[in-house]
This record gives sequence, structure tokens and C-alpha cells, in this order.
Amino acid sequence: MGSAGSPGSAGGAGSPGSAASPAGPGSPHSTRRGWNWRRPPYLVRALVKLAATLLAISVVVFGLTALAGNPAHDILGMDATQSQLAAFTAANHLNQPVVVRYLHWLAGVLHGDFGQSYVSGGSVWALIEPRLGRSLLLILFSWLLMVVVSVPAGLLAGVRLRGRADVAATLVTLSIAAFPEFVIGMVLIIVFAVNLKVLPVDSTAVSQGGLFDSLSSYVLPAVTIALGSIPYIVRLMRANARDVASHSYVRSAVLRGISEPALSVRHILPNAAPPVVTALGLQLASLVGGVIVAETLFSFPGIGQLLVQSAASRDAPVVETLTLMIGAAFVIINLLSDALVIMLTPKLRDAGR
Amino acid sequence: MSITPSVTPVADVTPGEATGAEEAGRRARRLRAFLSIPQAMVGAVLLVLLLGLTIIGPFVAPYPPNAISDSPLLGPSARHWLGTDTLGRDIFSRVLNGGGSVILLPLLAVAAAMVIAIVVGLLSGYLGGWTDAVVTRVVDVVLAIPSYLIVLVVVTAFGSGSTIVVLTVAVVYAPYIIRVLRAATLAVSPLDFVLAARARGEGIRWVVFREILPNIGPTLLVEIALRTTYAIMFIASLSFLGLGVQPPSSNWGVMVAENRLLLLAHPAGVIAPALLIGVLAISINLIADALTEFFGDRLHNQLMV
Amino acid sequence: MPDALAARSLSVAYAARKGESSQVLLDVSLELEPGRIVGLAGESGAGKSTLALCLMGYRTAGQRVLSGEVDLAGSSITGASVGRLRRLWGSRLAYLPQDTSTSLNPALTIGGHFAESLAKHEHLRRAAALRTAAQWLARVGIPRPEQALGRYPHQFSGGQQQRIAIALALCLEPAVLILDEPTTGLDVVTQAQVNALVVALAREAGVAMLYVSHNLAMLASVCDDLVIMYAGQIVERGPVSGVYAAPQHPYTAALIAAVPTIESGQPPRGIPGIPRSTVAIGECCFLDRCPLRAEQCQVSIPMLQVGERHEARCVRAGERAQTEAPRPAATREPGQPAQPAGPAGPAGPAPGEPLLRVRDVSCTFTGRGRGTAVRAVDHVCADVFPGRTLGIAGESGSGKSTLLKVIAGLLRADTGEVAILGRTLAPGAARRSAADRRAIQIVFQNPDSTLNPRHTVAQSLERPLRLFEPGLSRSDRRARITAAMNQVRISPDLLDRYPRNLSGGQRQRIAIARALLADPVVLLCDEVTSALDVSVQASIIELLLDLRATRQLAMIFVTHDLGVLRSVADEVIVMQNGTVREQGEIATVLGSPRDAYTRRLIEAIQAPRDQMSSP
Repeated sequence: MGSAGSPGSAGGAGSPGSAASPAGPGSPHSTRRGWNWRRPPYLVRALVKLAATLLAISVVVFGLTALAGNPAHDILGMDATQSQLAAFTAANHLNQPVVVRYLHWLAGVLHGDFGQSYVSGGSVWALIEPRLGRSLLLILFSWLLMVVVSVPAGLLAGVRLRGRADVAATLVTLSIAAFPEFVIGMVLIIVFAVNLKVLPVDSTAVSQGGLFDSLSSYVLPAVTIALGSIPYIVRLMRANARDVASHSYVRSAVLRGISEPALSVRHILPNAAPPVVTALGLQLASLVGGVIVAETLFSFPGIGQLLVQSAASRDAPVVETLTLMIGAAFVIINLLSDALVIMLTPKLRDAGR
Repeated sequence: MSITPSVTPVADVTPGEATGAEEAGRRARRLRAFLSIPQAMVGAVLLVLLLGLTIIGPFVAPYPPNAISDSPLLGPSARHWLGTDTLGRDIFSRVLNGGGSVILLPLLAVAAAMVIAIVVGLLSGYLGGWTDAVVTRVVDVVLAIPSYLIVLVVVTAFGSGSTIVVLTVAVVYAPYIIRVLRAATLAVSPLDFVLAARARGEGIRWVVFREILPNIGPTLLVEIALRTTYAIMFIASLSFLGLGVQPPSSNWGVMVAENRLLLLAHPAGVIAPALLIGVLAISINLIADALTEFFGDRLHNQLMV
Repeated sequence: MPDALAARSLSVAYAARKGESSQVLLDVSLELEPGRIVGLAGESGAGKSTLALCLMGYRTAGQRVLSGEVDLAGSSITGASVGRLRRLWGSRLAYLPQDTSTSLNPALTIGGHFAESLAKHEHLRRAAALRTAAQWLARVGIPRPEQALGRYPHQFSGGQQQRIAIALALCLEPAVLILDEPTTGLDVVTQAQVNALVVALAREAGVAMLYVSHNLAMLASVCDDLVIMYAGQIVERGPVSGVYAAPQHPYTAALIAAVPTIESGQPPRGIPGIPRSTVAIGECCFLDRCPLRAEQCQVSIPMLQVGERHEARCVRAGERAQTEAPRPAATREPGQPAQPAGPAGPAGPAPGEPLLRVRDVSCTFTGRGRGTAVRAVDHVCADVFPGRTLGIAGESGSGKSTLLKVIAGLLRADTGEVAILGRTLAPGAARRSAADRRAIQIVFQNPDSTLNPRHTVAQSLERPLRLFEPGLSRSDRRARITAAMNQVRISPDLLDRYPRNLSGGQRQRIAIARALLADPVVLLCDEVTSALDVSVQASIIELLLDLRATRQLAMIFVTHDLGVLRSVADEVIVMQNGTVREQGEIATVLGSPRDAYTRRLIEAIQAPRDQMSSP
């Protein structure tokens, strides 16, 4: 299907699925579409996409764990007796066909019942619940830190190309980006906890200690996580700012006599922002990874730590639930960032409706 | 609706001279030009050093990496240059042996991802229509889930280990490469020389592999270098979490995990492997950066991966 | 009248990396007077845009003024501080860039643009600024100005965007306005309207204007004085009528001869050689291509007075060449069908029968958004006769390129069919027989993308042969390729080059050679000259006419330029929004058009043509 004259609209929204396909290949495209309804409004389409994606995720997750077969052996160990195996199987409904188990599980999820842990036998939700708040707080701190540091740094570096700010930013980001999060975290521990002794060595105080101890336990993990993503955002912001700055309308503004602060704020930023918003949304994925690693490194009692422990002990219900929850959060946030991009881009605002 | 009817004329300028003989020397010149970028040189040197360490290391190590050769937790000395770990194994030997899987596994994973991606991505971008729609949806779903989660789910189901990790990382990273490939193919497909080929009636294989693929080479190269960096860090992190390579292997990530509790007293066991992982990642990072600069990263930036 | 802006002996160089520097402007002197429009003409690479920006005092990275200066109302702005320049830019010196869609910030409302400029230079508060803005918008013909202020640039058409940009530039009442190709990218009718606006405003407001363009014919309708640039130097300048009627510099004369005209007469002539990209030191810049070259031309030539306010940089100004190169035999008696070319065999269509027949073809594109279906081609019928050229004229969006792609098998039509020699063609190229695919070959517009950048010329040219005549031996193939290169007048030395090392004109010739190697019966040309400089375009036209004569090739030539069609086509169909408005013999349609749209098109370019008399 060739769409006449709407080239830019696909790239702007940042979602790969919305690219217009070109006039095709060996089989020339019919220029006649099979259907031609009015496109339903954006909100409806977004919600449908959300539901579909979540469903797909749940199927994939459940399917993978079901593929592996009965985990009774792995959970109960090599010397489990037959009766123990049978009991386990029955208690977890593992002898029923996959589809039934899936539907059962899905029904439960929609009611808020996330099943029972293979390992502890207790409710999955009970395991998750206390940790949820702590992890959310940690993610929030990390994300804020990341945005506050990288957006201005990147913008500055991009606008003053090859200036001191740019070189400094590039060097710093390159060095940080090179190290995996656990290495960065390790370095931070050595410097701040061991040598300077200003911050706690690990974050166990989060669940036990008083408020101050508890809060100070968030610092190192949050910084570690933020440092994992800052280089990427700085680089992106810089590339975008540079790209926009070289655009003809910026030069036109310069030739109308508009000078620096107004130039950056009114001409560069609004046009460089949309891809960055998209990227900030996408960056959440690496933030999740960062949380998982950081919580393990710092013994932070959050859902990341729970996730790793459950995976290591093959506790499928816990892993499935957490995956679905995190996946859902991710998809929703991406949808929101897409919506934000559309609102920020006047051109898309008209096209989308 | 408007395709500009009158394009500003292309300068009909006298081009640079290049005879047939010179074209042959082109490759060598381009390699030299590439290496003249500082990042490329530094990155290449570091990489070569690390590769040397990895390949020669096992033959040069004073002790077998898994053998208990002395009492545990000894400090650095003439016999044990970096001391011994909690079990009494020589840290220096373990370091010399630990690079293999850190470098090899990511390369395997990226190679596998590339194969999957090229076949799927090229075809999808070029064929359009149904194929493209289905592939895009699948890619979207996989990309919708953070990579760590997918690995965790797979490990929950199938257990940990090197093979699982390599396969899963390949499947997880393929969509990124597919997306880049697809976008690049979409950018190149409507160009006139592709249309000319289609009008001649050239088959799909010719058009995709001989017309389109050579023109998206640079973009692909940059993306692969980037993926390799990420793969190295990802797999090292997974090993650190205990989900990848398993102990008693002397993999650097594993070493960091096992020795981290001794950080205060006995940092060598942690710092050495951590540093090496970092240097490896830096070197690939520098090369990726240099590639981006060398090819003029317009296309890649536009694709905004 | 004192000059509003003047350049005096300006020489500018551009420092590339590693200490190399190339000179881009040499000894340029130019004066702009209030209320007069000076046209700056030249082909790409001549340095027009560089000069325009230098006149603003704007320096791009690495640019150095070697000598000379630019004066604004008597005081020099060369080397002025950035602060001073910022105060001048917009308020005294205004600039209108080429690309209409990016001269305005897509994230800022129209009102926002005005408010920003007026606040910066005249310290107007927002309400006052918006009032002024609305007045100016009305003056440039934007409907409902108050509403327009709240809208964004993308909500306006290209022509309207340019009007808004003009209003934005003039609302500060500058003394000088420099317009850099302001109507490129707009369709012909809109171009004429915008130009009329520019002329009117110049007179009313007494602004001194510089109008840069590669379109010599259009400049004639707009400017008072004309300046011709080549290879970084000014080669001729004077009153526009004088320069057109009696060009003194051989390059000017050649350039005018290369412009296609609607009136019958000689087809455009190309200029031999390749345009110069570097500044010539110590000799005449046009030396290598000039028919009048002589001993005395091998020194630096100054500007010499050749008439009232008319100067040319030539020591043999005004002389006619003693011997003119023989014109290629391109003319042919009309109405005489020639033998068809190609593998169709000795039996062509019966006399009077068309070679290619397009019947009732329609093509609809569904756009994104609420069911916006676009009828790109609406029940079009056309015939192509052996050895004759059918021209398809129309503006962008008329469907002409779409139609061509349908014929080539790159797009599938919703209705209708295309038949060659009586056989209906399959809708997709892949499903057509080899004979059918060979019979129809297509050449595209953009020289940058018409050849695969990763294939050498030889590789690109080999493909048709390998595909359609696989039995050929290697040496036979080489022979055929060499013959094709010679036919398009490209030296076979270039066989091992990559497209990036070839000029635009050379790439187009190779694309034509590639098409010819399939031995087609019909050659489809999709705006093949639109992206080329005037002189290069003329040489490509000469080539096509030559091919038509020697190979008796039938052609379909799509273009928006009626002048080009006049030189190339026998019959023409005029398309608008997918429908055929008029068709017939070229002379009839252009001479006495019956359809209103056709008349409008012709009128839009007629006025400039009137200014030009034959050289």
C-alpha cells in the first residue's frame, strides 16, 4: 500500500510498528485497500494495543515455563520421594493440560490472586507486597537522578559542540558507560562505604533500620542505577541537540538575530525533545535491569532481589507474576511517552486524530 | 501530496579522480583512515591486548585455576601475585583463565542474533505487507519486555548455564538488530536503483542481497558493535547474578560475585576481574564509537535505536 | 541613489580539514539599491548561496574572507562582532532561505515567530506584536490572519509558508532582503504568485533585494538587474533586458541558449565540458569551455564595461564564434512514424496503430488518517506511437509519475490496462515476460539514487545484459557496454568508477545507457532532467533527441517544465489531480490551449519567456 505524501509521521512517534510500508517488492502493491473505515481515536487504539501486548506477554511467559515441564524435581531436589513429587504436582495443578492451567491462572490474575509459590507454598502476593513499595521508591529516585543530570548535560554538550562541555561530557560518559552496573556499584561501595564511611555498605537497613538509616540505604543503589543509564541519555540528547541545531530553521532564527538562550529554549529544545522522551521511556528497560543487579549487589530487599532468588530456585509463579507486572508497567509507560510525544509535536497532533 | 517538482540542481562538479587500480588499494586506505580516528586505535589496541590475554593466559597461568593451591585469603605475594580466594585458589591464575567465556559467549550470542535478524529483518523490510506486519508485532512484543525479565523467565523454566544464556541473549537481541535492519531496508527500498532493478524483473534474492544489503552495511556494522558491547555487559552481569556461567568456572563475572563479600579485606579478587570486564567493554565501545564517526552516523541516528 | 548594501572585491576561501583551503569567491563586487531587485543567477557550484550568506556577514565554520569587504549603508560589516551582527540581522538585513518547510520552526506558532522577532528588535510587547503580525499577514495575502497567528507552519501550504516567511522578514522593515531560491519546491503557478508579491513589496517598501536563483527565465520576470555567476566569480552584470537581449559574456550567451522555451525554435543547447567547481586564478574561468577562447584569455580578466551600466568579464565580449559546432540532427518532420526499435522484430504495429496503449488506468492511494483516499490517476488514456515522444505535463500531485510507474510495472492500477504491440501487460514487472520487460525501460529523476552506490558503472551496466541475454560471452558484453557508453557520450574509462565519483549529468547518462542496454522499444523518462543544472539539462535533452533520431526510440517524457516538453515531445497530455485536462500535438496545445488549467500553466511561465529574445 503506498501512502501518498505522509513520510514523516511514522518516525516521529517512535513506535516501530507504525511505519508506512513502501510500494512493495517483487509483487507490486495493490493501491486498493481491503478496508477503509475511519480510524478509531487514538485512545481506543492505544488501549487495545496495551491489552494485546499484555496478553501476548502473559502467553509467552506462561508458555515458556510450561514448556519446561514439571519442575517438581528441580524444586524438591534429587532425593525427593515419589509421594512428595505427587503431592507437589497435585498442589500446583501441574497435571492439568497447559491451556487449562493458563486460563485458570489468567482468571486468578484478573482477580488479584497470583497463585502460590512453588518454594514456600504461600501466596505470591504476600512475598511481593512488602517489597513493592521499596523498589518503586528506588526506581523513582534513580529515574529522577538520571533525568536531572543527563538532560541538561546532553543539551549543553550538543549546543556547544566541541566546546569544553562537550569534550568533558563525552569523556565522562564514555568511561562510565563502559562498566557494567555491578562494577560501578562496587566502586561506589569502596569509595563511599569503605573508605569514606558516609553511606552504608549494603541496604539491608531498608527493611529494618530507622528512617535515616533506611533513606541513606537508598542512595548508593539509586546512584548506581542512574549511572547505568546516564551515558546513553546524554549521548542521545547531544546527538539530537546537534541534529536540530544544524537544521535550517535554527539558522533562520539566527539570521533573524535571535541569540543564545532564546535559541536553545524556543527553537532547539522543543524539537529535540520528542525523541528524547521516547528514549527516556525506552530506557526504563535498562532501568529494570539495573534495579535487578543493584538490589542483588546491595542486598536491597526489593522485588529485584526476589526475582533473582526465585529464578535461581525455579519458582515459576513468582517469576511469572513479577514479569507480568513489570512488563505491564513498561508497556503503559511507553504508551504514555508516545502520547506525550504526540502532544509535544504539533504536526503529529493533527495527523493522529 | 507534494513531491517537490523542481529540486535544486545537483552540482555537476568535476569529481575526484579514481582509476581502477586505485580502487584496489581503497580497502587498505579505508582501514588506515579508520584507525586514524583516536578511538579506533585505542579500542583496537585494548581489544588485541585482551584477546591476547585470553588466548595465551591459560597457558601462562602458574596454577590450575580450579585447584586449591594454598591456604585461603592470602594477600598478594611472590607466589600468588594477587593472593588467594576464599577456597585457597590462586586469583591470578583464575583471572588469566577467566576471559574466555566473557569474550566468547557474547560474540556467539551476537553472531546468532545477527543471523536471525538478517534473514527476518531484510525480508520483512523488503516484502512489506503481511510478513512485515507480523514481524513488527512480534518484535514489538519482545522489545516490550525488558531483556533481564526474559532471561529470568527462561532460567526459571530451563535452569541456568552458558548455553541457555547464549541462546536467550541471541533471541533477546535479535529484535534490536531486526528493527535497525528493517528501518534501513525501508529507507533504501524506495530508492531509484532498487526500483530500476524491480522494473527489470530482478528476483527477490538479487534485490535484497545485492542491491539493498550492501547499502546498509555501515549501519549494520555499527549496530553489531553496539550489541556486542551490551552483550558483554549483560552476560557478565548475568554471571554475576549466578544465572549464567556457573561456579566453579573462573569467569570474571562469577569471580566478582564470589569474592565481593571480601571487598573490605581482600579487594584483589574483585577489582582485577571487574577492571578487566570494564576494559573489554570500553574497547568495544570505543570501536563502536569510531565506526559511528567513520561512517557519518546520519542513518543510524535517524533510526534512533 | 546610495547603495543599501555593497560588496567590494570580495574574495572568500573555505578551509577544509588538514590545512587545505579552497577559494569559493573571487573578486566579487555587487551593489543593491533601495527599491531595486537584483537577480543573482548561476548554476550549482557557482557560489550563489555562499555569496548570499557572505553578504549577510554570516560565516560558516572554516570560512575566511581573504580580501574585500561588505558595506551596509557605507559601514563595513565584514569582521563585525557577533553582537553587532545579531542586532543587524532581522532589523536591517533580512534573509529568506530556500527550503520553505524548514525556515519556520515547526514547534512554534506563526504568532510566536513574529512575537519573537518583534520583541527582540523593536521591543514590542506581545499584543502589539501580534497586531503588527496580523497586518503583515494580510498584506501578503494570508486569509484570516488572526486565526493564522495561532496555527503552526505545517498547517499551511508551501506557498503560504513562504509568504509567511516573507512577512516575517519584512515586518521589521529591513533595508535589505536577500532571498535564496525562495520559490524552489513550489509549483509554477504558486511561484508566479509569490514572485509577484516580492516585486510589489520591493517597490512599496523601498527594500533593496537580492534574488538568488538557478532559474534564469524566472529571474527575467522578477528582477531589474541581473548578475551572472560562474565558478565563484561574477562574469556579467547589467540591466536585465540588456543582459538577456544582448549577452556579452560567452557563458551568459550559452546559458541562455540552454534554457528550453515554449515557443518553437531551436531545442536547448548544452555547454560542452563539465562546470567548474574551483575558482580560476590567473586565467578566465570559462576558458576550457568557451568557443571564443584565445591567447589573450590566459590572464586574470577584470570586469570590462560593455554598455550602459553593463559589464562583462570577457576580453572578447560580444564577438560571435567563427565556427559553431554542428548541431546534432535532431529535427524530424512531424507526422512521420518511424520504424520501431527493439526486439519486437520486423513486424511493428500496423501503420497508424499505437505502439503502447494505456486504457482507462486508475490508481488510488489510501492515506493515513480518516479515510483520505487519493485518486492519483483517474481513468487516463494515452497512446504512444512508434518513434514518437509523448510528453506528460503537470505539477506535483498530478499523477504523472504514478502513471509512469504503472506502465513500468512498479505499481498496480485499480482499473484499466496497459498494452504493448497489442498484448496486455501484466500489472507487475515480475510477472511480465522477459520480452515485455525489455521493451519498456524507465529512467528516474534523481541522479543521486538512480545508480547503486556500491556498484561500479560496469556492474550497473552489466545487469540488463546478464538478465536478458545470458548467453553473451564476456567480451561481447564488454563490447555492448562500451558501445552504449559511447552512445551516451561517456568515456569508457569511467567503467570502473563508483557513482560517487561521477557528476550528476554523468550519472544520468549512465542510467540512460543502462536502460538502452535492454534494447527497449519505449523509454520512460520520469523528470530525468529536473534535478540537473540548466546546461546539463540541455545536454541530456540533446542526447535524448539524438537517440530518438538514431534508434527510432519511442519515449514517454514526464516533466513539469513545459519548455522542455516543447523541445522533446511530439504529443502531450496535460494532467491535473489525476485527470487529463488536455491532449494533442505539442505545438497546438502550447500555442492555442483550450483548457483553462493549461492556459494558467502557460501564462505562469509565459511572462518571463517574453523577456527573452533569441540570442
